[in-house]
Amino acid sequence: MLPAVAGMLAQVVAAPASAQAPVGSGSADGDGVPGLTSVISQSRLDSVLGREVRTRVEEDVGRVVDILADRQGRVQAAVIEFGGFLGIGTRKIAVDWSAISFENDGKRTIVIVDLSRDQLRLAPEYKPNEQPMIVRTSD
Amino acid sequence: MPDWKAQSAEGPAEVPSRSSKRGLDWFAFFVADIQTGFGPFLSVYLTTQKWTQVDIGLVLSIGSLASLLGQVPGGWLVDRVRSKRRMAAFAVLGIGVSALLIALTPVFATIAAAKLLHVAASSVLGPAVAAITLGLVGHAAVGPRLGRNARFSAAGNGLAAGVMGACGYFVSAQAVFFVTAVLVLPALLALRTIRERDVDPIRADGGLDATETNQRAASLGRFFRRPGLIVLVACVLLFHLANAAMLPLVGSDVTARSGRWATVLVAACIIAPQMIVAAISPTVGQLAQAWGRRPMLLMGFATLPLRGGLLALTNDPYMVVAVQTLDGISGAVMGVLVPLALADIARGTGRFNLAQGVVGSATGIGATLSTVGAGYLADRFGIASAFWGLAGMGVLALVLLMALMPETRPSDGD
Repeated sequence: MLPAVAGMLAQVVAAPASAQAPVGSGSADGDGVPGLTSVISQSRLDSVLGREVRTRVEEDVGRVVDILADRQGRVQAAVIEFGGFLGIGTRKIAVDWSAISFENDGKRTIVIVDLSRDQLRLAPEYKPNEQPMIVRTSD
Repeated sequence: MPDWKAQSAEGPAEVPSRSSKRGLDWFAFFVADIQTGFGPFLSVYLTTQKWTQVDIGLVLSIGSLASLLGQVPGGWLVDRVRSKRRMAAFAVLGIGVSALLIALTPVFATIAAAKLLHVAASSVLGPAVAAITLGLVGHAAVGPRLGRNARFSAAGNGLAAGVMGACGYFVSAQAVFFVTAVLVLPALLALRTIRERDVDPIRADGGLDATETNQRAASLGRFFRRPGLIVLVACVLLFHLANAAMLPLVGSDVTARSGRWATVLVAACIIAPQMIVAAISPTVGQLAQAWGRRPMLLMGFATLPLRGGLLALTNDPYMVVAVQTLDGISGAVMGVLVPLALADIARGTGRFNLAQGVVGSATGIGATLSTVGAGYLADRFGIASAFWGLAGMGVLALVLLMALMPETRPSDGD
């Protein structure tokens, strides 16, 4: 699970950019690193990988299996796996990040994608080793 | 080979008890059940556990590689072990432990270990079920009995696919592995009702032959020169090269083509062929006895390129499901005729289970190459080309079978 660990480190390192309330700095207590601060996020953040995806009209779509970012580290798209049965015959597509939002469905957080099921199923398949075709809303 | 193989040559003279036969029915059923969740569904589950695609791919590759390497030693081990029943019990327990590990601790090291445990258990469980069958009924009656096994196994597969698919969809992916672990109990109970003394360990290895009594297990070199063995292994490899990628391609095509009903249609593509297998397998076993192995094998292999061609020509999702039922015919033939022909070929060698391991490896190699090749064709030239390519491999398998595969049914008229 190295990528996951790397991701967590990246989050911690990236935090000072929006630092407002330093929790601990300096090296007096031994485990602090000079110049590094951690903050409590102002807005609610949710983990994305493995999240259930639905369309606006409450149709079950699939799950987020990957996140695509550009060279500046800005997240551009979510890779969504959907369809099939028992894992056989699933498809992966890349959906534009701006078409994605989070909602609370009673007890869990789900990803809402602002596209219809038909738009999703007709989207070109996502291939990890090729320049991805990203589905986005036309308006 | 140890000497006890050459000794108790007379074997149990009595017909196997009713209890043992019933036990084997349900053992075949539950073994099929507990294997369902370990397929492509594992990657769905790991996705829900926030695994990255790279880690999922890695752990699945470790599993496939181990499976390719493990089948032959697995079969060899089943030949060597006297109690096939106990071996099968350990294997079933191993699968149960593997399912629990997967459900409870989805971290990389445990999942990799669970996957390896599952592969090791499966590589002995497959041969062990056929070995128990052969040991139970003897060579003369094994054709119809393998047909019955295939019926229960397909019923188990179809039912488990439906139940576990629904369970994964409505409850959770994790629940599928708990259900798997629970199903180990009825599998073990069914195995218990097969009486140890009904399973002749020598017959179970294909060791006893009226004409070759007291002969030691054949040397490996001599064994692989048995007529038909290499041809059958090559045909099985080509069969899976043509077959393995068809269902996933059909599934993703149906997913892309039909909206609302996609899940149900893909489920039908998986379950309908199993119902056909359950319906026709006993007849296939009887006909293999009456007509011989060759005509049945040819029939099963012929439906494969036919299915590939029809899938290439069909766009309608409902027609695709109908064409997919042809998989039931080739599935029944493979399920019954391959172990049957191996039992014929391995008769008097004591190496029936090794032969099953070799065929298991050929299956794995064919299936792996199939996915890679068809994936490439589908990407570059479209899905119809992929189906034509697979159908072409199916034709090759059929031609090889027709040209070189001898009739293996014993001529002494059983």
